[in-house]
Amino acid sequence: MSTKVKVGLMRGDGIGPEICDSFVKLVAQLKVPIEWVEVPCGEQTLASENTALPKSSIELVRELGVAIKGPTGTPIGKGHKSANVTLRKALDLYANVRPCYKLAGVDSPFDNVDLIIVRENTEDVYTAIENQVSPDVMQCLKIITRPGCERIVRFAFEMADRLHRRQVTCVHKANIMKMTDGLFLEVFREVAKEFPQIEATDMIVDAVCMNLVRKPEKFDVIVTENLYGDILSDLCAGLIGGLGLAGGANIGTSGVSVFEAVHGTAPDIAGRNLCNPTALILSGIMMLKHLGFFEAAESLSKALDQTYAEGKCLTGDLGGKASCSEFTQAVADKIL
Amino acid sequence: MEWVGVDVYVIHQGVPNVPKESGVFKLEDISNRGAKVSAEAPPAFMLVDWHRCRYLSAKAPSDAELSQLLGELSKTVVWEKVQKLFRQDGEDKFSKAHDS
Repeated sequence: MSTKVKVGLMRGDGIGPEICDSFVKLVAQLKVPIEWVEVPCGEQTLASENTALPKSSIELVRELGVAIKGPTGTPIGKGHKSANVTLRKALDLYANVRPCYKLAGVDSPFDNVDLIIVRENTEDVYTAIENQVSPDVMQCLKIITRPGCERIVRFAFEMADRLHRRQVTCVHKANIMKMTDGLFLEVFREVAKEFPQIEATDMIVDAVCMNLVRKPEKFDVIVTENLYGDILSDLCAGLIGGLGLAGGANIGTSGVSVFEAVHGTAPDIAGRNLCNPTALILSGIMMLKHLGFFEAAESLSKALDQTYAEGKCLTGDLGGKASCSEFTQAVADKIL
Repeated sequence: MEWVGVDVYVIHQGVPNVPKESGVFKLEDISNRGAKVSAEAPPAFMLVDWHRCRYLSAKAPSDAELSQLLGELSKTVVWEKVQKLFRQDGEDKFSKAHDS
């Protein structure tokens, strides 16, 4: 009798529960021995515990070691803290990995995008150090540390090596922020020497933006700080058809990892069976690989690719007429 | 703006054991790279040698009381920077550290 692996299920807000249901159904179809453990978060706990991520939920994810997460809402300019940022900080999920490749049949100006963004997830201007210092002045501190740079850069090179990637590009703005971004670039160059088989290049973030929208095929693996990574990963999602097609993983030091759909909660279509679960499925494929279920990951990946290549059963965001559950069933039917 | 506390940034290896209170100031929390940490239960995650010690006051502190706090902190840690914390119209004008 095989032992089931316990995995946290953070359904989140808006369309989160629907896309989670979709992935849970596909995992059942794959017959992967996973036991889902519900981890309360989002509006559900905001109402009952006044926080979008209670400490008990953080501890549960820490105990389980792996979780998959739907989107959670965060108010702009006021209100509660982002559950995502709190989760990343509390569990030290320092590496955000965003693969970016185009699915067959998706309308996009580029056919040859195949890159991975590795974003530092815990430092930079995301350390919650913001103040009003006078009636007219606000400040936000940008924190970049040598240990923080070392582990994310090393993670990027090790991942590139493992996946037989040819190049790692450090994205920075060290021409202006000579101390903070200068440290990131300095550490990148130091660590790169340990990986002579991989080409190490660096580029200023504004130049990267221009080049990504002109010749994205020139990039392979990108490693960068938190804010640049946040922006670039969404830009790259735009290159392949949007956030609905972009999976993501957050990897920590102590063996804890959280896989998440990177898009928003889409409250306008929530509960109407209209959403596209692809981003969470892609994140789930990353999770299956992380757990060592390589055959299941490959099977699901092929079923998803085939569904897109056929183009007969796509959701409304991609011009189709299928509901979320119809799309999920179409993928499930192709699982061997 | 109403002065209600200070963030004292200190350089220290490991979570510093700083005074819980000094005059009108009471220690609210200690954070490292934005996440709360505790000297009693050191976290499993990566720490750097730079901590934010947040002290709040129930009544308006004075510069003399701040000097006293810094003097007490200097006995155990090296303080690097002080940031006054303000409140306006009942709203804190400073961000909170993340739970950990």
